[in-house]
Amino acid sequence: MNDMPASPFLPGTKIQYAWDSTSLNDLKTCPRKYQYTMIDGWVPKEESIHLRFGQEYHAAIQDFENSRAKGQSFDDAVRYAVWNLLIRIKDWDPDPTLRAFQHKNKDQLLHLVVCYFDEYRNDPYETLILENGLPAVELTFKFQLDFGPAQQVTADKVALNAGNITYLQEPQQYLLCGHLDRVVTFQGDTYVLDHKTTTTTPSDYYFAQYSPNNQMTLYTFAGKVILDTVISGVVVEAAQVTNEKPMKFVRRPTYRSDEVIDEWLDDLEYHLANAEAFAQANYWPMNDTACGNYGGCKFREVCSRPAAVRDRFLKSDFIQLAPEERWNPLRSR
Amino acid sequence: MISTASEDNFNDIDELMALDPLELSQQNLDRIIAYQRKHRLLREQGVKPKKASGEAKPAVDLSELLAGLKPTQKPTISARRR
Repeated sequence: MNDMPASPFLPGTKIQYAWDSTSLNDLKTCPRKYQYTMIDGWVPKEESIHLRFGQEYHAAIQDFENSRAKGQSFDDAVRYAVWNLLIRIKDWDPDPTLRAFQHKNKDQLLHLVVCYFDEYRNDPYETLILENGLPAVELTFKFQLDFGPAQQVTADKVALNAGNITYLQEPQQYLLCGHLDRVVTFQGDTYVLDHKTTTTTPSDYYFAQYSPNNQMTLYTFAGKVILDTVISGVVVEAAQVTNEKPMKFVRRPTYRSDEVIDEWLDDLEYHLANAEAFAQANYWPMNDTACGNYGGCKFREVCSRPAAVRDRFLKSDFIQLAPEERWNPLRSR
Repeated sequence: MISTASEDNFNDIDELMALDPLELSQQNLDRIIAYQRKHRLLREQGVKPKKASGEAKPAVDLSELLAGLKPTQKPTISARRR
């Protein structure tokens, strides 16, 4: 069954109107990186292992939470989550020659999932139960901002009548989309909880990257909008995937005040205006100060080459996805 | 050192993991989960886990490679003053 989401771009343009933290991250980091990923659809050959591993980890936790919300015992919920995981990954065949395989393979995934359930058997964070009785896990959000791409306000799309502008065609406002892994209460406060898998040590240095942080601010804002409640911030839950040492789990909250969120929204308007300008110019400049971030941009080798030969390096180390397979903030999970 | 008992368990797990997941019984699942818990304890005790099926085998078996080498005379470097 095909569940084709709508395109996140205005029809006939490269102006993106539906955004999520992933596409915003790329835009803010480097417009060229954004172009390669969102506009052209290039993904590294290794990225599929990381994506699949993370998706299955999330899905297993969601199965567990749903089972517990239905009143199943801890052991039954673990059994169901593990069983469903094994069914889903039965035909997953990650490439063992890729470096990511060392940490992220089927055995490691199964081990991580069971360790996670045991680690948080007596979880002090309680999953929020929504009004419909369902647990607040994998909450999809999609809401409009009060502004949209300026490109839509053109002479052929508006009518001027006694000084009042009327839109002949309802303009598309920007959408902010995403998925909240889990919403929890802890000591009287409500938080969004975000699951992260990492091969690095979840130390102070690791958690420092989450403040300021585009994704965590968006999730705090989104939580307030869709739940209409006070959200204190996001609890980042890091799971360190190790080969020989025990898997390690650490949680750390990151807080966002209303003032911080308001400033993020103000800045967002500028970033989206830039994205629109790049799209209209059909040119996305490189931010050559970001190439070394987080161990190095995945496109660094490509961008370090002369423009005339970059295409060859893209085709060598990356896969270009078909438009309908590319990252789409509007795609539901 | 991994005990013989855990090696037997490891072989059983291989067989269980090779089954169609839809065919797994509750007992099968419990054994798979119990194995993961035992695996976690071994890691906490510092025991190096045995490679499970599906993991990449080392490209080179170092022990086999080193077994064929004979000790050679230690190389010396002689430098001539120019």
